[in-house]
Formats: sequence, C-alpha cells, structure tokens
Amino acid sequence: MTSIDKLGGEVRIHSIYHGLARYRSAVELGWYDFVGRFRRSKIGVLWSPIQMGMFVGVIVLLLRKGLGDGEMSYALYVAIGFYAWDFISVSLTEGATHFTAQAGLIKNTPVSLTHITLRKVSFLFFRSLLNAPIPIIAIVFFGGELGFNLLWLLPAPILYACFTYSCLIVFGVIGAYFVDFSHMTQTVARFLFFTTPIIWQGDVGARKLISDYNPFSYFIEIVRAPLSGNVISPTAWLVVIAASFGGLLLAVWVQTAFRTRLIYRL
Amino acid sequence: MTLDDVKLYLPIGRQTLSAIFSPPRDGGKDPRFITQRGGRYCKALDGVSVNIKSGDRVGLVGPNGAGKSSLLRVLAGIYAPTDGAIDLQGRVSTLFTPNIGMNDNASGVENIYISARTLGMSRAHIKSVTEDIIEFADLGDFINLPMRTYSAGMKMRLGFAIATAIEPDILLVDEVFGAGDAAFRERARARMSRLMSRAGIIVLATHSDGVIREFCNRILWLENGRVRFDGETAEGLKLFAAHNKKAPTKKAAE
Repeated sequence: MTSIDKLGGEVRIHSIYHGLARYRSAVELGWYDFVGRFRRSKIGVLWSPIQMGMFVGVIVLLLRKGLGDGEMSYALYVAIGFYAWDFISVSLTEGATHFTAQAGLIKNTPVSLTHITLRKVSFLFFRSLLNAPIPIIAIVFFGGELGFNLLWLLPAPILYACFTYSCLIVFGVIGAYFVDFSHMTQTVARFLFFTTPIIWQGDVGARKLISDYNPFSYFIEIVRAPLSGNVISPTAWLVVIAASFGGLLLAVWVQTAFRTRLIYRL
Repeated sequence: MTLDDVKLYLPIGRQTLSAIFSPPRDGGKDPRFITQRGGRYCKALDGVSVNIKSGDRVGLVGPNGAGKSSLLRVLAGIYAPTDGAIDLQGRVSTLFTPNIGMNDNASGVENIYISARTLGMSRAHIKSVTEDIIEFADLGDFINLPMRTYSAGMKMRLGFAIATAIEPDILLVDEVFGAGDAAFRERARARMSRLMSRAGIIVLATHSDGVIREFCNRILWLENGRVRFDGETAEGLKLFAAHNKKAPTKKAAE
C-alpha cells in the first residue's frame, strides 16, 4: 500500500513522486477505464473510431467543394486535424470534472493526484490509439506521407502528454472549486473547434490571423505537417514546447498548492 | 507514531457569504466552529496529542462528529493537518470503504485486479492473493460474472476480501464490521483478527463495544475534536458508557 513517512508539507511533493513511481499501474488502469466504457456494447472499443470516421466523412462530404484543395487533399487535412483535435478537446472537457469524478477515491485512500492524472492521460492515449485507423486510412487513400518525415512526429505524444497532464490538473482543480467550469469548458471547446484550423485552412486574411494567434493551431500542425509531407514551422515548435512545459510547471505548482485543500471541495 | 497538538480545521465557506446566506443559528457561539482570516472553519481536530507504540490496538470512540474519521484520514495522509506535527513510520493501509475503484460491468476476477491495483498493490502481490480473495469472498460462479449482477452484500464481501488482502505496518479501520450475513460476519471477524495480529499498529473507529473488547488494548475517546480519555480499554469503555447514560440526547431531553 501507499507508504507515507511524514505528513504535512512534504506529503505534497511525496504525492507527485509516488504517482510517478506507480506509472505502470496508471497505464494498466487507464486501459481498464477505456475498455470499461464499452464493456456492455457488442462491438466495444470500435465505437470510438466509428464515431470519428463518421464525423470526418460527413464534414468532408459537406464542405469539400466550398474549400480549395491546396497542396494536400481536404479529406486528409480534416482526418488528421480532427484526430489531433479530438485528443485536445477531450483533455479540455474531461479536465473540468477530472477530480470531482474521482472524489470517492481521493477522500478514502491516500492516492496521489499524479497517479489519478497519469491514469487519465493513458486512458486518452488508448482512446487515441484506437482512433488511429482514421488518419491512417486517410493517409493511404488520399496521398499522405509515410517516409522518414514521420520521425518528426515522435515528439508529439510527449508534448501532448505534458499538455494533457497540465490541463487535467489545472482544470480539475478549477472545476472542483467552480461547478460551472465544466459547462464553460464544453462551450469553449466548441468555440475553439471552429476557431482552430481543423475543417478550414488558415492560409489567408482573417482566417490566417485567427490561426496564427490560436496556440491550438500549432498543436494540430505538429501532427499534421509530418503526416502530409510538410515541415513543422519553428513557430509551431516554439509555441507547443512553451505551452506544454510551461503548462507542466503550472500544473506542478497548482498540484503542490492545492493538494491539501482540494479534498475539501470534493 | 506520535501526534503533537494536531489540529484540523475544515473550511465550510467564506465568512461574508456564509454570514449572508447561512448565518449561524446560535449567533456564532458554537465552540466547534471558528472564524479566521475571512473564512469559517469546523474544528474537526483541536489539539490532539497522542503517542501510539508498536503493538497498540487503539479503539477510537466518541459521538458522531467527534473527529474519529478525521483523525483516521489525517493519519492516512488524506487530510493534511492545519497545525501540529505527526511522526509516522511504516506502511499505512486504510479500510475506510469497500468497493474502491470497482467497475460494475467488469467481472469479480477483473475487479480484484482493478481494485487491488488502485489500492496500490503490486502485480506480484495481487497474483499471490487472488485465490485467497476468491476463496474468502465465496461468491461461487458469480466471481466470473459482471459485478452488476451481485447483491449489495456480495459486492461488500468482495470489497472487504480485497481490502484485507494486505500486510500493513499501520492499519486504519473505519467501521467495516456489521455488513453481510451472520456467517460472513463471523468469517470477516476471523480475517480481521488475523490481519490485526500481523499489523504493528491498529487504529479502529467504531461504535461497537464488542469490537473494541475483542480487538483493542487501548481506547482513545474523542469529543469535539479533543481527546477526552486515552487509556486502558475496560476503564475507557466504563467511563464512556457512564457518560452516554448521563448525557441524554436532545430529543430524549425534549
């Protein structure tokens, strides 16, 4: 069981350390959480890629003619963009209820907030992994890039994991203090979906302006560019690295500052 | 395990807001509440000092709201004390609530793994105790069926079997007795007895004199977050019973 040598101030750091040390169980439990959601359904986890595929298909059929194809196929553009956005959007919306949903566990066991959060991060990665056929199908059929360029994709999971961890911790704490926050994040996520270049291309005019000043554009770019044979811009690297690691520092501070107080709000 | 003047003040709202929306019914004279730094707090623990040695089996008694569960949660590291110092060495295990982290749609066997892993047990340990848990829970073929098909008692049996499949140095227990049918209660008692004989220190919160007589060699009587009595079991129970007889409840007094 959890071993605590000293209580008080040190337990907060202890909590992060213990959570990291138990990363294996966090990954396993993330998998059980994922399959648990589909356990009673006939085709189980396949519902997740089916939902995504349907959405991408409908968007492409409806909007294709109105937008120029540019250098890459619109279907490929939407499939990869939506795949990356899905991960971000779920981090934002589930972040707000992240700790309140685990109130029973937090109130009754000396569980580390880091462990709960890593469990959720791994849940999101499994979800993402099972949705991977959608962008893969798009790459195969619509002329995506499958060469050495894919190596540029490697930092993306690490950066996304840092970003998601920060979102879950920071939004989870805010969500525990303000119940309205979960409704707000859903509204904001919907707004961000339309202001991020997922189904439109931010190449000219007002679209370019919105795209340039939206950090999520760059999160999408670090996944989309390598898969479509393009080069990731230095701005994208800079923004995503700064947001991910800056977010991580903020999350550690929030976790340290609110670890002992959070429980009173659950 | 030493507690030195441990205080735990639980926040119950901002002073200004609570003054407007829920003003204190007795004009703010209830000694269990305190107002400081713009906030209103409940004094769950108010200066608890106690030294518990290896081999002590401490029975926590006191009326509802005395601070028993709060003290257990402070010892478990769930609540951080507002003030005071705690020196605690060893592996701490908690038996506060059964069915931690279980999934209704997963089978009993899967839930053993999920719950035990959530509680922090290693894979090797779970592997070594799974048969014991299955045997103790005694659910027959139900163990391979989804947990949603279980009765409340069966769920409790499985939760209890998992939570007690541990070997802690310090065991903290919050009212886990009294559930299940008579036969299971007897077996649960025997299992607890075995678990307790292995643990170095036990702190057990209960309202049952019988449980205290059977398992404890020391009594800690809490009232309004303070220690009212700390000492030998027989004497403590006698004083506690006498106090309960003397202090009728408000309803009875009316």
